[in-house]
Amino acid sequence: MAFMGEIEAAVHLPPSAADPNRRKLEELARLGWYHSIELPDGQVIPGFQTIDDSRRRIGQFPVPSDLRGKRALDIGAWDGWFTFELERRGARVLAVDSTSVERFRIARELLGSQAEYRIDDVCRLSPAKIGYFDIVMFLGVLYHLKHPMLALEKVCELSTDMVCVESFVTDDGADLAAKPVMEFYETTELCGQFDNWVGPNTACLLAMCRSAGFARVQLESVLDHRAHIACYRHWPDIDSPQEPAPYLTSVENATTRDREFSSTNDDYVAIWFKSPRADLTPADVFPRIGPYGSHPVILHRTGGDGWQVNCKLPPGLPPGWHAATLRTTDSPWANPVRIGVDLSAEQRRQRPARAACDIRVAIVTDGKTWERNLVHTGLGSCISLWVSGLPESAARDGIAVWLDGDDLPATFLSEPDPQGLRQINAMLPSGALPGDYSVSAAFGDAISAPVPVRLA
Amino acid sequence: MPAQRAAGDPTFYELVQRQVALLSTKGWYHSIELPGGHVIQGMIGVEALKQRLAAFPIPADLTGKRVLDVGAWTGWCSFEMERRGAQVVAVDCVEFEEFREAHRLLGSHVDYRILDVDELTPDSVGLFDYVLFFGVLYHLRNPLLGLEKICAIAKDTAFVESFVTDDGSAPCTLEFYETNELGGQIDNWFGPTVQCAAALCRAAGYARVDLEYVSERRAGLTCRRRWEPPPPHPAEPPPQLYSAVNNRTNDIQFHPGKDEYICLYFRSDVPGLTRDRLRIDIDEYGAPALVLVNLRGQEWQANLRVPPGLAEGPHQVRLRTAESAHSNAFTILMQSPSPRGAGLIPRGASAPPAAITEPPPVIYEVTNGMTGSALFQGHRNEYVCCRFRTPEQSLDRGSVILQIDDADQPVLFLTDLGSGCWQANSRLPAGLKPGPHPVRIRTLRSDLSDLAEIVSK
Repeated sequence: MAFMGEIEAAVHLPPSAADPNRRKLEELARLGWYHSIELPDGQVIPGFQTIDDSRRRIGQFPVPSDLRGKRALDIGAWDGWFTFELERRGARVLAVDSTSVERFRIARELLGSQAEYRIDDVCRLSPAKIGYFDIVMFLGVLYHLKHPMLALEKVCELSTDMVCVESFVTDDGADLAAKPVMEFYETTELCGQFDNWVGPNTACLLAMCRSAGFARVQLESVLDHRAHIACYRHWPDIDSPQEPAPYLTSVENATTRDREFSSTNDDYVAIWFKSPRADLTPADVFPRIGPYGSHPVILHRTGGDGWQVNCKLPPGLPPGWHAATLRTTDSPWANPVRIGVDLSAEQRRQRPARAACDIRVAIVTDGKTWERNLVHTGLGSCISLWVSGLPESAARDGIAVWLDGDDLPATFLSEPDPQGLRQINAMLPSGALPGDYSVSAAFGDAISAPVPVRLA
Repeated sequence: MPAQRAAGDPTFYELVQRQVALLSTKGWYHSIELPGGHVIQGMIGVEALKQRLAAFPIPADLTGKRVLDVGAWTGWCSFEMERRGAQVVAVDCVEFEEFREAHRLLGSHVDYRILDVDELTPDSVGLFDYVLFFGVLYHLRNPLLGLEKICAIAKDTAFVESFVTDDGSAPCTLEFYETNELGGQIDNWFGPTVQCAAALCRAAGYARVDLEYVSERRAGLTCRRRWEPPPPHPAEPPPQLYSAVNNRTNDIQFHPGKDEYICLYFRSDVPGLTRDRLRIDIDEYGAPALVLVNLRGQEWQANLRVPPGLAEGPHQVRLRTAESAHSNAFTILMQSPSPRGAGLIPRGASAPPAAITEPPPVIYEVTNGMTGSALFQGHRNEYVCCRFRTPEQSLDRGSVILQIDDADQPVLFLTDLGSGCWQANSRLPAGLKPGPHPVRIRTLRSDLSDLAEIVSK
């Protein structure tokens, strides 16, 4: 779909209307085609945009010239120039549009193209329907959508590497420190077309792309109120890291404080870690969940060499266990910690194999009163154990607290204190009834002897 | 005075941080008045809560009404709606123990559900006479989607209260908060200007949106799903509706869940008609026009969004002006996409061939529906618009046959123009050779008309 390309879907303007786009529209109507298409014999179907125009548009993005073995998605394909260009570079391409464009079918036949063609709305696409793509073209679509964030999240979910976003913007991109603002077009305010809904400034478009869940968002250019943004799902690798690796002490769902996540919620991952660097800023921290990078939303010091960083759960993770880790500017990746996404009951039972160890519970208390072997129930109440015998490599995610047979996932695991004891916290279930229970700590196949505890 | 913006404004930041500190000491957000006169003191006092509610035209007697309170928090509004006699559903995205406690203390029957705004559908919660949508809009990543969800379950009125970025003078924009720019909180996503909040409500599908107040960066809006009643003594003649079609396909079929637009063609004898004077109804719900275009003389086109929440099946489209009675009705069909090859539109009851009992129709005009001339350029969006006279009274699309070059073309829509005049539209056959082509029309009960001519370029 292209900027003025919606004439067919748009209102039928009366011939008398003194509209500044009149000439453009008439030219388009005369030519019929929006994209020009170069045929195998060298002939060109002339369109409103020349071949050079289209080449200039794709040239704004670092799209590799060799796409052999890659799967590509062209959203809003319109007459199909970008679809056929990606195919020419070797990709298997799926073209999607909101309405069937006869010219696309004609061009596909003339070119002998193998591109698939699907009619669907962008907000209704999903990996379950169409799979995943190495590269996604999202050109000239965003400002036609009523729910731009939803669309960017959908596009992020479908991509495994790079998305090229091109959109109308209200400014020239010179002031990236501008307040991120988006104009809203209730009717025909933008170019007399009623299917334009939003006009972000460049700062807003960049911020929305970041918030959609990409690791990195790179502004390539702004030409004539069109911003070109390359969005990446991965952090670059470090060849020979010079900094020591950070150490992850805990990973949690920032809302529920457990280690499970839902891909349909707007879930955030809270990562607690230790780093020898005292000068970290969000730009120095690179979280990674499964294969995807996710940029820091907030970063703060928790005291000493401890830090907390929150990032969005990246869209598109399949159900199952995924490793969360992070690195700093010039460090190797930290110890991975597993988190669960949309877990099935079967997956929830799966635990990592661990070496046998001798775990003992030294102290049971709660996080409020610190009375021994007594835990007060109520909203947000937690049970704290101080244990010995956990192996050095134990991370919070492999640890469970068993309360009379109830598996409470650990929400926190401290480093060993001078006596070699490590603190484990677990949230009490909200409906826990007062009474006498026994509690034990488990890691892998090892489980401690039970210790009595009273819930009050 | 330039509009003060809240994001990055230290005064506003301090205000929010003070509120957060207060909340952590109080525990309760809303104050709650208990039956014995005792009051649980929350961050917001009972008087302030009453005052906010009084700014909206919510009936004092809600007996027999169903009310939804979205973002109920500690529940004062829910319990107040119940006190007024309504059957109340309270919804929040996280569970508040304080709500449960107040619910117990008050002996309330409010139905408390933990749901996200995106999960509110006619299937999940049913339909409501009134919806309270207080302090939720700016927390949504897709604010317009949230307003649409509410619109789809509101039968009468939604009361919307939101943070706004100005006092009403700024243009229609939204600020975007990537992290904690607004008040240091990370769960704020969009800050609309007052004008934008109203525009979002209208775009969501409400017929009428009234701004009730703007005060201390909060705005209150009343969003009604129905137009005001038509005048008892209309001063203007009613419009005549020619057709109501999907603007992507020129067909009467619409698809649940898609972003589709209705294109109305109508005649109105009111000179200088404007968009804000149009009153379009889909069944009993009003919907604002996005655009109104004078095609020629008294012929007009208006485009509007399909209102959210239309059930599958037929729906009646009518329109009027602010000062007229309703036009005739035209049926559109809300239907999930049919399997390939199946007919999209149910044909009329007149399928079996009938005896020739009527005189042939008389074509008085054939044009390219896009340009009004008889010349066709070969563009995809062109269609044949054939106007004819016939004494027959009850025609539908299945009972009219249009021929181009002696080949039958499906009639995409048919409309009664009045006084025995009708209009039938069809697509141009593919691969039409340059030059003149004959067009004829007949009904199931008549012979073919004389020929008219179109010219293909």
